[in-house]
Amino acid sequence: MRKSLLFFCLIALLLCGCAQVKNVAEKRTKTITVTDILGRTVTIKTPVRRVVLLYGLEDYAAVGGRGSLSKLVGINAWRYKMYRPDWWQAWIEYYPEIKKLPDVGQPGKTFQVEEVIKLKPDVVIADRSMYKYMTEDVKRLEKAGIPVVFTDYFPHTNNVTELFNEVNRSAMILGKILNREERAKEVVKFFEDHVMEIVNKTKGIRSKPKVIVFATWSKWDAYGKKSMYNFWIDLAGGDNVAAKVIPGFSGDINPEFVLKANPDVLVFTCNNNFPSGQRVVIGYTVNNSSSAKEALKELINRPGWNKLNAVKDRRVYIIHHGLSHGHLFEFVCLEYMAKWLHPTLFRNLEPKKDLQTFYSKFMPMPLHGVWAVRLGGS
Amino acid sequence: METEYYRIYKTVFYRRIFFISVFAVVCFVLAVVDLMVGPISAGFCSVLINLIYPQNETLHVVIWDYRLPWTLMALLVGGALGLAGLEMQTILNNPLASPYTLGISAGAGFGAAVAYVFGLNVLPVPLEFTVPVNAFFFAFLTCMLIMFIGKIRGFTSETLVLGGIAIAFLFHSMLALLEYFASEETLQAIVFWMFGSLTKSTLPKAQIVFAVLAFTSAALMSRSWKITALRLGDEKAKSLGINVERMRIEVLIYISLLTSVAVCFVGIIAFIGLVAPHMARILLGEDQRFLIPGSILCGAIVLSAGAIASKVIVPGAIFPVGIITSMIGVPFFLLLVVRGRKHIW
Repeated sequence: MRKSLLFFCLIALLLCGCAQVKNVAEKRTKTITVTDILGRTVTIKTPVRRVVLLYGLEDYAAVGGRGSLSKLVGINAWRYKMYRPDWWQAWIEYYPEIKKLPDVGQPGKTFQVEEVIKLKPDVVIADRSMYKYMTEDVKRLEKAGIPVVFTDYFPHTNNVTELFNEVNRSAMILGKILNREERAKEVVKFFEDHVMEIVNKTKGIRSKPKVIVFATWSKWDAYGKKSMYNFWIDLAGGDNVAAKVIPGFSGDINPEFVLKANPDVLVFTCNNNFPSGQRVVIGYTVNNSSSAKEALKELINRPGWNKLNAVKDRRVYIIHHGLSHGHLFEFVCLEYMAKWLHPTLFRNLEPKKDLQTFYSKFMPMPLHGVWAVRLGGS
Repeated sequence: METEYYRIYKTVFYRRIFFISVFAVVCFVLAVVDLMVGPISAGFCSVLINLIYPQNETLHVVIWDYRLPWTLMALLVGGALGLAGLEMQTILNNPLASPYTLGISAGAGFGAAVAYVFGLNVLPVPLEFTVPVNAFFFAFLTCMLIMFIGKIRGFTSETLVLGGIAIAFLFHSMLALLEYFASEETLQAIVFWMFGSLTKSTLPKAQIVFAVLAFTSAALMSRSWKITALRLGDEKAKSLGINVERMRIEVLIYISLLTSVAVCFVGIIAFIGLVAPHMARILLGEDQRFLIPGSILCGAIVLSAGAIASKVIVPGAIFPVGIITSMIGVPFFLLLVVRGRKHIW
C-alpha cells in the first residue's frame, strides 16, 4: 500500500515536471514549415531566437551572417575540438563568446539530450549523418516541443544536379529558419558558379591524369569509389586509380599496385594534426608551408616511389581534409583537384583566392592559414 | 629386442614425423605462392632471379621491399602466435586459451593508442618504431601484472585466467577512454592498427620476430618433457619432480615475449593462436617435442594462407588479414573437430 502511494507521488512529480517545461515555452503564433534533407516536415515557431547547432557553424554563419551568432544557445563544441581543432581556434579568436556556450556534444558520442531540452531552443540543426545516432533523441526532443532539422552538404555523388539540389535545399533550410533566404540564394549561387566553371571546362577532357588520394593516418589507406575525393576527381577530369580496387569509402591499397598504376598526381589529406607526434602542418593556425613540405617529404619516402611520375614531377600535394566535404566552400577542393590535374588548362584558377573571396563575402571572420601545399615549387 | 610397445611407439613416432613434414611442405608452398602473388605479374623464374640480383629494378624493389617482408612476416608472426597459443593452453590447462587470453592484445592496443594520442614513446626510437615499441612495452607490462598477481596468489591456472580477464577489461576500458578523447585522425589510426595488417612489415621487423621465435622455441624445446608433464595435471607433474609454479612462470615469460613481439608489429590478428595449436594437437597428440614445431608450422600455414587471400580477394587492394584468417580457418578447424581424433583435449 505504502509502496504504491510512493509510486503515485513519484508519477505525479514527474508529470508536474513535464508540464512545467511546456508552460515555460514562449507563446509565439507565427510558424514556418520546412522540409528537411531527410524529407521530414518540421514546423518551427518564428522568429527563431534560440538555436542549438550540432553541425556546420561555417554554413550557419555564411547564411545567417554575423547577427545569427548571437542566436546560438548551445553548440556541438566536442566535434570542433576533436575533428577541426584549427577551425575551433578560429572561432574562439573571432567570437570568444562561443567558448561560453554549453557544449551539447556529438550524437553517438557525447550528445546530451537533456541539456538541449534545458536550453529550450526554437530549433536544433544537425547533419544528415547524425540522424542514425539520434533517432530516439529526435523523438524525445519533438515530444518536448523542440523541432530538429537535418541538412547535408556532403557530396554523395558525381552527379552535379543532385549535388546542387542537396546543397541548395540545405542552404535554403537555413535561409528560411534565419529569415535570410536572399543571402542563402547568394551563397548557393557562388558555390554553383565555381563548380560549373570547372565542370564546363573538364567536360570534354579525354586524357585523364591518374591520381591517388592517401589518408595520412594509416600508411596505405587510400580513398575509394564512394569517397568525396573520387567525386571531385571525377568532376575535375581525373582518374582516381584507387577507385578501381577500393569499392568502398577507403581502404588499404596494395603497395605494389601503386607502383604498377604509376599515378601522375599524389594527394595526401590531413587535418591540422598528424597521428603520433601531433605535428600541426596545415590549417587555420599554420603560418607557412615549410612544415607541410617536410611532412610530404617523409610521406613519399617509400620503396620504389622515386620512380613514380608524380614524385619525379614533384606533383605531390597535401590538402586540409575539412575542405573536401560537408560545407558550402567544398568547391575549393574541386578547384584544387582541377588545378593539380590540369595545370595548364587551369593556370588562371586560384583556389586559395576563391576561398578567400568566399570568406570575405560570406564569413564573419578573415581567412588565415595554409590549406594546400605542393611538395615542389610554390 | 623389439617389443610390442616399441613397435607401437615407432609407428606413432614416424606418423608424427610424417605430419610435421607435410606441414613444412605446405608452409613452404604457401610461402612461395605468397611471394608470387601481386598486382605486378611476374613469372616464377623472374621472381627467383630478382630475388638474387636486380635484373628488373621495379620488380627487385617490389620483391625485396614489399613481398619478401610480407611473406616472412606472415610465416613468423603466424608461427609465433601458434606457439604462444599452444603454451598458453598448456600452462592454463584450458583449450579455450589463446595468446590474448591474459589481455596482451588489450595491453598492446592501449600502448599503440598512447603512442598515437599523446605521441609519447617509452624509448627514444625512430618514428617508424614508436608505435611498436609502445605496444610491446604495454603488452609486456600486462604480462608482468599477471605475474604479480600470480606471485601473491600462487601460479594456478584459475588465478592466471581470472587475473588476466580483469587486466584485459582494465586495458580495454582505458583504450576506450583514449579513443573517446582522440581526434578524428588519431581514432582512425588506432582503429586501423587494431585491425591487424601485414602492410607494416619490413625486413628488420621480420628479423626481430625471427630472433625471438628462434630463441623461445629452442628454450621451450629443451623443456619439452617437463611441459608435456604439466598436461597430466599439477599433482602428477609435481610427483614427477617438476616445480610446477616455476615452470609456469618460465613458460609465461616466453609467451609474453612471443605475443608482444608478434602483436606490436602487425596489430591484433585473432584466431590463429587459438586454432593452430588445436590443429597440431589433433594430428600430433600431446608430446611437446612434436607439438612445438607442429603449432609453429600450423600458425604459419594459417597466416600465410590468409596473407595470400588478403591480396587476392580484391586484387590491388589489401583486405584486412584478421577477417580472412577466421573465415578460412573456421571451416577447416570445424572439420578437424568433427572428424578428427576422439579426444580433442
